[in-house]
Amino acid sequence: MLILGIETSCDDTSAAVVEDGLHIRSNVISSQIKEHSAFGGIVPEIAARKHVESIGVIIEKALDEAGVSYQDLDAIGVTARHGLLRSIVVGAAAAKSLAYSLDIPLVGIHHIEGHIYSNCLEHGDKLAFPHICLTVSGGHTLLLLVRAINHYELIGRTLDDAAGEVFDKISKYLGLGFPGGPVIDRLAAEGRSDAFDFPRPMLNTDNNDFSFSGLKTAVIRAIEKAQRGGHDVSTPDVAASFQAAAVDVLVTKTVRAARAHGLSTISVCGGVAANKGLRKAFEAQSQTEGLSVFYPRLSLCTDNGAMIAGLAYHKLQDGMQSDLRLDAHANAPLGALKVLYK
Amino acid sequence: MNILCIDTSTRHNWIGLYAEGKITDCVGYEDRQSCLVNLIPSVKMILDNAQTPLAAVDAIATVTGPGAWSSLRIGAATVKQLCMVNQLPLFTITNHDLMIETLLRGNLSQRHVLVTMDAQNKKVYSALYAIDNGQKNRVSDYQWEDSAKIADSLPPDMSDLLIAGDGAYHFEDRLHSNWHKHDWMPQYNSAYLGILGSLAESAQTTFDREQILLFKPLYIQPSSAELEFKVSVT
Repeated sequence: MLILGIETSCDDTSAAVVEDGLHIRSNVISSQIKEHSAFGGIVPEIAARKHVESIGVIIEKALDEAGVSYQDLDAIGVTARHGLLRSIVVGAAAAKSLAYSLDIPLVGIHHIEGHIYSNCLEHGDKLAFPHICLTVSGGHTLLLLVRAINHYELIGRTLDDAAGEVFDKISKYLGLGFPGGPVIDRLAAEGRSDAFDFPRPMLNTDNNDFSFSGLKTAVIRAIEKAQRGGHDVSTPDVAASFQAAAVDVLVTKTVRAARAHGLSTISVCGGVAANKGLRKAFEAQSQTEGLSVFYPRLSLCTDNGAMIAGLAYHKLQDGMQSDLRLDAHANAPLGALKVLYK
Repeated sequence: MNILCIDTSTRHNWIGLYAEGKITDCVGYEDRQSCLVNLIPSVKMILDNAQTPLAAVDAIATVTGPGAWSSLRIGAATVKQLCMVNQLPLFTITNHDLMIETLLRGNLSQRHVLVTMDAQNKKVYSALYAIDNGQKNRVSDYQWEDSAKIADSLPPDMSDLLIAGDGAYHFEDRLHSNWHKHDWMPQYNSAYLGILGSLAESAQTTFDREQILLFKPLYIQPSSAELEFKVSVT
């Protein structure tokens, strides 16, 4: 079964063709980083305008790379929940138009659920259920107990900023540009992680929630204090110390959640899953704790159509299909998925 | 010729089927928040009612804007894929040109028309047209500007000017003796769909893959971030 997946929930326009929920025939991602970099972050209106300009081209490219035509498609999957509303509606409108024209099923997908599925898409049967999933990006920081595909339990979340959002904000403060994740990760490798003793917010609380706003403030205050004292601030040292603090909280709380549920499998997904420091820390923990930690390839960490197409296959297998009145929402809990399907 | 007319440029969304020189079926709805939910089901309903399969549609006609940004984008993304999958020609027209074409089919006597659309905060999307022998000639750029500034830019000695559109009320206190205003939009009733269909039929547009893929709404107005940062990326 060939499914076209469309993902436009933020600033990446993506379309992909996935066969039987597992075999990626194409995964085209058009980044808007260049357009947003002048503004130091994503501008929703600009993102939406760029989506509508590129959506047709990206869909055609995904079909070309997969070596299929519109008529070969068996279903359309599309992100319909969670993200920038004016961006989501562009992909959803295109998807509905395709499903109607081709008279094939339409499957609305929750963006977060797509990210969770990215590890299933990457690793197939090797990824055991149940497991703990850390979903971490510029928009989200969530801990989930994944019992099976389509069965999730939210067990922890950030109470303020998402981890990736703090990487972006600190990068902006340091004048390193947007997006902040890759540049901080690169600089961190050149700096001393013990140069600054940044706090590990909520590290020892008796729950699975996170908080990163205080860490961001602590980083900014430490830089200001050093500058007031006439000290040169080493940007790599700040990057390394900040990243170490953020990673420490993410890894420690994820591993603790796995232990608490008696599980030895962890999956990590979302844009921050591409962070080398995070992966290295999880690798170290996996060796000492006997854990299996799974990440998707980099092109499946970012927002992508393949995870949407792959998950849509399983939705259809479970009898879940949307109708042509499918709507879009910026904020929707993972628990409210039933409304997506008729 | 069967032409599917889709207009989501204003809060009055209209979908109609133009066949044999007239609109045979149409549906309209006024809530722009529901554009995504209603658009494709409305297209399906229109074609089902007309017992016209999508394969029997010969072209699509749409209004590019300016107007409500999100519903413009929903309309654009929808017609792009309808055209690409079904290899349908796409006829597009701006709201300003559509207004003039609608006025020309009425009792327009003035030789100049300032087409205005309310853009909120005392601003309008406008364009000035000269009318000669029933033919229109746009003599200004499409503008997004303060209505008072637009009014000041008009030559006061311009005779018989009509200020038309839902932005015309901004000019109420600025009318000279021979100037008139017409608070109106084509989308206030479905009749304009026939004009949209006939314009598309006359244009005899052919399927142009590149034109369709590159099609985007006419916003005129930059995003607020672009204005604030004085950077243009859209």
